[in-house]
Amino acid sequence: MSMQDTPPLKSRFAVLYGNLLRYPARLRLDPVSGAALFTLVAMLLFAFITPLFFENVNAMGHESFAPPGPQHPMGTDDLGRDVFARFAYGARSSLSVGILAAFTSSIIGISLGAVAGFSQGVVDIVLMRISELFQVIPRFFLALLVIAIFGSHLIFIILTIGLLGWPEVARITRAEFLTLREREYVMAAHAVGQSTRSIIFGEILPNAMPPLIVAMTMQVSSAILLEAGLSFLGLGDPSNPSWGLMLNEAQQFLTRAWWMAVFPGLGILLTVAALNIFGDHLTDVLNPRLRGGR
Amino acid sequence: MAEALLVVEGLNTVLNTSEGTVRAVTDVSVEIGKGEIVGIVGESGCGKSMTVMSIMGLVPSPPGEVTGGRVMFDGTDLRTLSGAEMQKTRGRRIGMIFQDPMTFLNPVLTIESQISEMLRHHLNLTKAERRERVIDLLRRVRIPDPARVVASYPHQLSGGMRQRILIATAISCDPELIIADEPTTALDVTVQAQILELLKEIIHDMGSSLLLITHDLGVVAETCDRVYVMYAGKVVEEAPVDELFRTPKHPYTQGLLASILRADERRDELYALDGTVPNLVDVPVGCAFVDRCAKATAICETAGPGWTRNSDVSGVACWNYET
Repeated sequence: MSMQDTPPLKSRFAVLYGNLLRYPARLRLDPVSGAALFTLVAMLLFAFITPLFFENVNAMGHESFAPPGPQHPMGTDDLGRDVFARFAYGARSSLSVGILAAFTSSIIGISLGAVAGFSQGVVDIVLMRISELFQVIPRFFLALLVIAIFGSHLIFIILTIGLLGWPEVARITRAEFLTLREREYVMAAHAVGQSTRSIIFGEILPNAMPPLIVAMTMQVSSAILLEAGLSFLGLGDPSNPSWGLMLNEAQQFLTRAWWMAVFPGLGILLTVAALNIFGDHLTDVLNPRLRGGR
Repeated sequence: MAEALLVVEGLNTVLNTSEGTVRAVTDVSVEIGKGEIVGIVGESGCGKSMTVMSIMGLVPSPPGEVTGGRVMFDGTDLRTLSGAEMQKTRGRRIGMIFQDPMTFLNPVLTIESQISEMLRHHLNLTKAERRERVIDLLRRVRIPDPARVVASYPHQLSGGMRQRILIATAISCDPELIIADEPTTALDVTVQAQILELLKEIIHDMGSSLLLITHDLGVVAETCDRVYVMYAGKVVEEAPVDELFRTPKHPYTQGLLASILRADERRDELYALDGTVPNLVDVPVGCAFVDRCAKATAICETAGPGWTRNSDVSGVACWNYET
């Protein structure tokens, strides 16, 4: 049999979730979502490349409160440190916290939500009560508590935010599973003898991805905000400047040095807004019924 | 009849609903020989699909429950198998074809991944071998340009193509028995005939058996060797196809056959069976068909008719059947 004209073999993962990673043309960008995506990509590149060019962002300079100028594009702070360098480092820590925390909460949320929605009954009831327990605890104060106890290392901040965000993802996953498990193709998968695990991850989860992708982008933005809030209150990791930490430092000097607050604030605003807009756009694009033929 | 492959004996399935216990399948006994094509006919809600689900161990529970009977497949009772053993049987040894090819295919998976997922579960093949087999299967169900079709999604194919894909899935592991639940109902008439032809041919080539569930007597006449007629959860008549069409014994079968329209016959009035199927929550004490039956006598009201065996391959459940 000739195999020349057949499309290349793909890994199982690529087959199941490949739609989500397909060519940019399929994203059907309009100007607004295009701008959002551009902002996100630019911010990511900036966050992970620029810090490599600065050696020590905590090094004090001899010129305090220098306004933005050719020497310091974003000015200097009260200790004479370059705000631009700290901004770049802040971008890196804020984005890593956002992405890693969202990743943590998605992993936990998707697995527990899938199990709850698929098995129903006692398992479902127990898991959902646990998720409600997490939901009724004020996120911010639990985060305060955890950091007060375990210290403010970046890893703890990521884990705390991640562990707080999962119920939302779990509820969406569960809701999707509750309807999708009744679909006929799931019954067909049972009838051909597929295992429960492969039905959950191979048949149902790919169908549940669109709302989950959106939920994940929202998780990233809310994690960035939560981290900024914690750092603003002085609970951030002081050795790793983040945008929230910079805002914290800037608040005493708001009238003297506006640049200390405006740039990290803009960074948060742009990133979170871009994430939300792009997440909304993804909702439309990922709907399989709106996907075109070939 | 050839050596038996599937023997269902006294199968009972109930659905526990808030209105009471629905007796969806009552004492159903069905036998399928090796290489045989057997039909089960009946109207909607007569328990055809529940019978199949019970055989496959796929009755949704709750509310459904198989309460009794044996499902002997090639010498083993499927009802005694563990979940994992049953999983190995489904798809591998018993293939299933469903009614609506749109809803039974996963909309976000390519054709290739749907079929090869099944191969991955049942057969020990490498990725390249699976790909080759999928393309080969599509060729066997006469899909043009299979190399392109493997990469497409269900919504990009026509109804007939999708039904062919379902057939390809069902036969992908060379099962000994294929159960087809209304395989042509969702298709238009010309495609129906093609699909039935294809199905017959494939079954014949593989030497497998086919259990065909349908409400369409035309499909039965065209395809089956033997047929069971079901009414209100029970088998009311069993006969080889030509015998059933020539000399139907049960009044229900006679009514069904009389209501078929024929092109070579002129009729002023259409025949229709009066009444409706009884509610299966409180099944009448006597024969379930009594209210609609023209030949009903006093005994029909008070006692259910037993099974009268007329020959090895035919029987009827009626007090007053015609010989």
